[in-house]
Amino acid sequence: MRGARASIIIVSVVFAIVLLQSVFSSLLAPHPFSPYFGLPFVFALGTAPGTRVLRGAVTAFAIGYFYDFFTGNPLGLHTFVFVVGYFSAWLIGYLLSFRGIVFEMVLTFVLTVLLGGLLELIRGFTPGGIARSGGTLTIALFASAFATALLAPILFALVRGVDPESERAPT
Amino acid sequence: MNYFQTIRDAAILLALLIVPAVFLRANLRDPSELSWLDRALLQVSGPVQYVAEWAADGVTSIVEDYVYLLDVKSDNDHLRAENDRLQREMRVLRSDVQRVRELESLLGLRERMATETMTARVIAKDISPSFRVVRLAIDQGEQARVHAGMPVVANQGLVGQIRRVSGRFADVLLTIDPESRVDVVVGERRARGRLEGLGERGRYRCRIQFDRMDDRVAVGDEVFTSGLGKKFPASILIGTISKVGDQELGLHQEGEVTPAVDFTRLDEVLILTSGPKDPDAL
Repeated sequence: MRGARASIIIVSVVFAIVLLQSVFSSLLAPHPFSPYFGLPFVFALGTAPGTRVLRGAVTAFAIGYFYDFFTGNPLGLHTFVFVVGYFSAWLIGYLLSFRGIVFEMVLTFVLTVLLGGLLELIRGFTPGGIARSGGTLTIALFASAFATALLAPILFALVRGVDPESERAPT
Repeated sequence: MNYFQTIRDAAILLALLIVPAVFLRANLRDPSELSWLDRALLQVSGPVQYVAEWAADGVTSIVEDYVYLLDVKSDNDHLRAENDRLQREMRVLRSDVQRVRELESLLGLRERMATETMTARVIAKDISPSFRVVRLAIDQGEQARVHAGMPVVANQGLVGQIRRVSGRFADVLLTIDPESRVDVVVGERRARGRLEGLGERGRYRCRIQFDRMDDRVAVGDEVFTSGLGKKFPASILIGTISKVGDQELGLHQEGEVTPAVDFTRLDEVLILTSGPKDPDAL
């Protein structure tokens, strides 16, 4: 039950952050350095040794679902990408034993670029979707990933604070 | 964890990945190419999405309204300051409009006057204890070749004459001053008389002394300059008869005149710098 409660808190925190980001868009999302606040939460859950895979995936699903509503994208877009992001982080966490602030930042940067690219790729297939030029898209992807990576240690720590069990080794 | 639990978790995980992909596929397809499965999925997801969006919009609007409220005070202060500034500007503009009207009026008078004129601004007023103007100073003097005796008029009528000139300024002897003497005609019968100021400190009044006892004048008759002696051009309004003396008593018929000019409100006047060019034109 503690894990479920922690997941609800994490989803609520992401919801609040996304809400604030949409209200204070000029302050919290300066173009092109607008961070993906939701992704580091998903990565943190994916790499946390004590988080059950099922709970982490459901939490990522819920966070993605909120993102779809707030960003006005087709239902399923962020949900899918966030679940994919969770599994990717889980896989990397499973394969690598290295942890720390540098790991969190690098992981966040790389995965944000890849998942951002995936998002844009899917968006490109959307009828009436916004087509962006390669240069603009690359700058936006890397700038956004950079901003997200800078914030990653704080958000990872936030997840650890909310969900202390995530740091325990699985029994 | 037993075998069935592992299978269940794996199925759920797979569903978590497949469900959004399926919904996404249905959302991304062209509406004309939707299969029955896509349509079913969209029909299921539509209401859910609508309710969730409605809730999200509600929360967003509440937060945004609160954020906007935070700015209301500063907006209010800003608007209040702006309002004060505009009020000040409006007062200045009203004053300017009044002045423009006075100047237009004086310009009209200047065109009506068949004499050479000069505009002057009232720069000082001596006020009696009863708040009546007893003396005026104007901003034209020796440099403008103003000299004593020149008539001074306003749009409403005769103000008086130049009493003395000191440098760049001049004093005006008002028609209400006891030292003021003006030859006048009254009413349609053109009754002749002489007007002198009463010098009363509490009200603007002049006394008129008619040449003939049998001249018929009445309260409300207008009093004009006669032009006699060519000191003042003829037909400049001075005021109206406000009181007529008892015709049975005294050697002369007398009356009181209320000046047409409100000396308290005078700001601009005209000095008649020469005699009438064509007295008949007045």
